[in-house]
Amino acid sequence: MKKLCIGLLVLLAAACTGDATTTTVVAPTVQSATTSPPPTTAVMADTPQAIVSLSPTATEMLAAIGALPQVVAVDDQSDYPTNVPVTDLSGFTPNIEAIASYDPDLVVVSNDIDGMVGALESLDIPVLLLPAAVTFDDVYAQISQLGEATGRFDEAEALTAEMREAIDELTAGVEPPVEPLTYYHELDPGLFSVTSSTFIGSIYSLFGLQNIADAADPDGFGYPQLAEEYVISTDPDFIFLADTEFAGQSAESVAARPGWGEMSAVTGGRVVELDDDVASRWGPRVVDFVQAVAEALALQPVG
Amino acid sequence: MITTGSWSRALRPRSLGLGVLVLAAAALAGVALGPARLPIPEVMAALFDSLPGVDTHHSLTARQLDILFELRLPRVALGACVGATLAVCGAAYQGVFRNPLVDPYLLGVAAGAGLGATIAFATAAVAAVPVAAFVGASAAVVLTYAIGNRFGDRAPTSLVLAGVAVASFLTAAQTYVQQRNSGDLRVVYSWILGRLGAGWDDVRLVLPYVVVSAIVILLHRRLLDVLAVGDPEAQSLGVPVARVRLLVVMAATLGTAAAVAVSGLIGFVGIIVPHTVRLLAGPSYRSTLPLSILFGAAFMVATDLAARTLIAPAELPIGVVTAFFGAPFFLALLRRRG
Amino acid sequence: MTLAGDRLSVTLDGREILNAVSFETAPGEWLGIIGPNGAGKTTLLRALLGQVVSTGKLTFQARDLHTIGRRERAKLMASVPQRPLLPPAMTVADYVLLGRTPHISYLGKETYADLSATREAMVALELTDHLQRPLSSLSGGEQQRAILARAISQDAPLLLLDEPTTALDIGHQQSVLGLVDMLRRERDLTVVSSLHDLTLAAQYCDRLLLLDRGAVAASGLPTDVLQAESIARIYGAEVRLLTEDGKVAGVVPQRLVTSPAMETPTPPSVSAP
Repeated sequence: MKKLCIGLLVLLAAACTGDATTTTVVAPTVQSATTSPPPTTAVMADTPQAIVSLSPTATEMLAAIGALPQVVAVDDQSDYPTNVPVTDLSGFTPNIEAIASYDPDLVVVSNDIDGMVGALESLDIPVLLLPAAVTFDDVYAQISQLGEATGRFDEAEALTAEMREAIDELTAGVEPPVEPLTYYHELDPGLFSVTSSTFIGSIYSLFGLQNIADAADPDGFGYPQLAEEYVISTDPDFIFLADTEFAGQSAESVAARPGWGEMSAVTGGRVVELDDDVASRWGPRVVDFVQAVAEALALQPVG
Repeated sequence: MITTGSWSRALRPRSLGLGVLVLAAAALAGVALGPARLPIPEVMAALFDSLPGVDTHHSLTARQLDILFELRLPRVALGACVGATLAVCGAAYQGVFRNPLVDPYLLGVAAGAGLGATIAFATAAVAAVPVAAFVGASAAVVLTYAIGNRFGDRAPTSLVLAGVAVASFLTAAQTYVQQRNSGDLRVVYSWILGRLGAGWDDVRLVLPYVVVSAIVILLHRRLLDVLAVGDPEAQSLGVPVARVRLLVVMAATLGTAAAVAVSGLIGFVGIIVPHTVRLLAGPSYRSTLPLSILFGAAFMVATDLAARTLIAPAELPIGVVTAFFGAPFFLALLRRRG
Repeated sequence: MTLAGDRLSVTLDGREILNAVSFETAPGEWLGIIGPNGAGKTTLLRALLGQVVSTGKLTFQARDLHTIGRRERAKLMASVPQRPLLPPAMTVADYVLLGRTPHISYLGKETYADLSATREAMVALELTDHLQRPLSSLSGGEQQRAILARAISQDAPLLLLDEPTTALDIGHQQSVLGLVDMLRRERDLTVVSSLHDLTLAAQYCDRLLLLDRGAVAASGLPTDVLQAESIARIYGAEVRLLTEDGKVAGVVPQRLVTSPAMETPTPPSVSAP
């Protein structure tokens, strides 16, 4: 399956590279959501013009490289930016016929549920599988892949450069603390967390933060469920909430939990409410995530 | 000569005493042990200190005291309530349906609660999850009864069949809602696997229901023994069988729905505990019901202790731990029968 | 003080199972209900027990059985079903004690009087050595006695038995019926039982009620009811009646004779007694 995708990518890349000079008629603007459609004469027949995205992260990436005009449909979970062509298509319970009814010339997915990739390929629909990133390099690589696949290679390069620069700036601007600071990242009120071996964990590692969930995950699975007593007794310096929208958690609700009220993160105002989507997708808004962490560190305890 | 002391159905004080002892031991262990590793002598001292009129010295910090009194103690209390309820309601269902493999989830309680909770999670009304689960559980049983009465007679088999139908339907509905709201999959799943503990609030919430439920069930213990000879014979002995069945099922559903609302779907307790109790003290419901309360409470407290210490500092969902006990239990049962 | 039915009818699923059945029993008598399979014997018993809806009049000891409550009825009649459900792990003592259920209030407990009555029933049926034994460990005969003991402990003046001799060997048949006979004499019970064995019916019953397809074909003393001609017509069986002291002592079925020349077996031509 992976070989097939790579093969597909190579084909797509080959189709595009020969025309790299003629596809960049529109001046690329990074993260532009309202790029005017490219003049039809300059568009090559080989660049996909009917893209279907079943991955909210891929949708954000496509929008950021200016490929939205080439996108005809996105899945029901894709909600950023706000002007994407949302449909009832589902990336979790894919209906192949429904996807095919949009007559796509490229389908971007983040997982291969129910043999979706194979089914689409049997209909001769090209598929690009961009699974959840594990490292930052994965993020940049996926943006590049999309750039090549949509004939917006330059925009993709510009975007990744911009992202790297922004992140470097943010990490450089934070003073390393005297003692390493600890954090707890909450995925849901059942105290599911992430370890530093995950992508999300690697973001915090940029700032040298230490994850209290690491001790709970000897197998390196990445997503342990923590015991309440443990979280309270280790008393992390920061609490990051990634369940503010779907589970309605907030600094107040955390403070109201029995036994949590006296934690130093609560009393010191270091319970950070993250945007659920920003904290769970690996697209261009990773920068926003890094920014949120950097801003939280500005509240770090003195000394 | 026959004396009243030779009647076997009476609850022997020995079994009762054993139950109390086991529960006390489990509760003590549940309070003393945990991932936060509080020093046990200090814990004991702090517990004694909290009794009115007793003043002992202990060296626990404010945070440790919080863990003890705001986390562990309510968790043990909730575990005892939930375990006692699931066990006694399971025994009650086994009595009215004359089937040892029946448990409170049979008539659709689990499926109804699951659907209610899933809808609450999907509409982001997270605070309403316990109410939604309770309503869902109760509505499912009402539906089962309505269908069983309308399309069948009021015999136990008809109700069981209706329950299976209702449960399947509601589970399908729940799966549908889950798939449509795939972002909530994990939180629903972890609710389903069961979790004890959001403090004293949950205990206060659930206590009135479990007390009422247990009392009504205990009051019917003699009649449950009479039901053992089957509906027609019980009727001919003057027992209003359909009414007894309805009252006991209502009480058992009330208790189970309340337990499920706060702790999710914890399985096997309603079967394992009553069976074990019967092995210990005989088949009469006059002993099975009260002993199920004690041993059910102890069992839940003990499994919760395992759930939060076995892979500490990570936590196992309690439904997984009870399932781990469940499979070998049924195997042992099979061996005994073979 | 009698059990009386006046034009009792039962309709189930649109079919008329019992049609205007009338009968009467004096107190202390044993009424046997006989008839071929499907004649309505069990349905009649169920009508007495209130387990099926019936029209017509049904009275016992001047009480209208159509209007009394369930518990009242249980205090008036004790029933021994054809296939009683014996909970395997229940002890004999607990099982016999169940017979006292109609005398205990809904949420009440057994009183000393209940324990006494149970004790007495177990003595009468010689079960005192088996008190604590689980029902599953009893022999067939002991189980029969336990079931009867439960019915006796119920202290009801009317005893209903549905085919009490089915699946019993000849010795157990005799002992069960003998026990019932002894108990009814000692306690002045009225007994109503359905029987398929005509000889036993003749030997033990004071009165017989012969049903044929839901209607009464004959009723009265065994001598009057058991006629070879009516048995041949209703049962389709050729029998010979044995009498002793003017009472029917046995109903003997004829052996059918077959010969190669005949298509169906025919009975020998023997004149009726």
